[in-house]
Amino acid sequence: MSQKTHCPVCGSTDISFSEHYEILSESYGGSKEILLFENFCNTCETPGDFEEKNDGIIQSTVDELKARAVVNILNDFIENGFNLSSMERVLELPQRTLAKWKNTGKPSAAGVSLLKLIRCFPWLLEVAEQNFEFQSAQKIYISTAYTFIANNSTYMDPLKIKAEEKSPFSGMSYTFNDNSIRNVTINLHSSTDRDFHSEQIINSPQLTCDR
Amino acid sequence: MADDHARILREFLLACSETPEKIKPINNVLADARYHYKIQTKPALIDLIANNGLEQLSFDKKKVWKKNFTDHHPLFVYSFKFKTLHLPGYIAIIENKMLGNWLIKSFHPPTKGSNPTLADKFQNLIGQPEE
Repeated sequence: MSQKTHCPVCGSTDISFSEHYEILSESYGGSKEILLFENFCNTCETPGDFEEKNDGIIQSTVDELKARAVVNILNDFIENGFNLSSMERVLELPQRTLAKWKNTGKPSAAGVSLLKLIRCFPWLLEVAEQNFEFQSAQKIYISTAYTFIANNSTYMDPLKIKAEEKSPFSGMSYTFNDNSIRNVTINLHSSTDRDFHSEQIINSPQLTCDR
Repeated sequence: MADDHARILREFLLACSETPEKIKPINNVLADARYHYKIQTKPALIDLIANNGLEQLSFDKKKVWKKNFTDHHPLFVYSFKFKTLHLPGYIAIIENKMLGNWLIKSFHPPTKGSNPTLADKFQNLIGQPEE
């Protein structure tokens, strides 16, 4: 026997029903179009999901997109030369944790957030390597900001910047004078003909950073 | 009654934690919660409210609901402003004594800025439409 749907406002059972499509999106996980339901009380003219049908559909879609995000993020790291075991070491996760997440696509909610944070800010891995020591973290952060400025502030995928920094042909290094983030020397290196002249400083502007 | 809104808020928060099945989001509440606050489902919304996720809740106004369907049981809308981490918000609730439930009528960013200003207070005095 089917139970009649009641309006939560007036209690009427004169309820009509419609469907509409909505797109759900998840950062790094893409989007998916889903079909949602809506009730409408013909007595008091109140709309809503009185039967609570949509929650299950939305939750399963969100779970699916989050699983896709996990796989995409870990693939991005692998394609840019990051080693999952090393990342696990730095993040103090048990070995094979990231691989398991990649294979099942089902880490905890905290795991998904962690992956999104390191995908958006890959330099957090360096911060983790420094045991989250505050001064080191600031220097890493400032170095990353200078790299961004040196690239004419055009958007570059932080993960790709990070991958380039790992290369021996990196174009820049930073010296924090007086061990302070307020006074930084940027060393620009020539890499003509793929030769890396590590000692050849082309330009060494003194930049100060006011907090 | 001067503290009417305080009682309503207290009882609503209690209902969210103890009888969540009696909380009924209507209108675009769930779509707005998804769009503006990344709250995907009704249980997620009620959990947030029940666990003090609406910070700095402050009373905004009380109005007779313009869509009252009967004069015998007039419904009143109590609206509150809040913050959730960095985002300001507006929630409007109705105690539906006739059916023994709570209606969440609105849940979205405030339309007139997040801080009470002289202009807001003046608007309150001269009356303003329901959000």
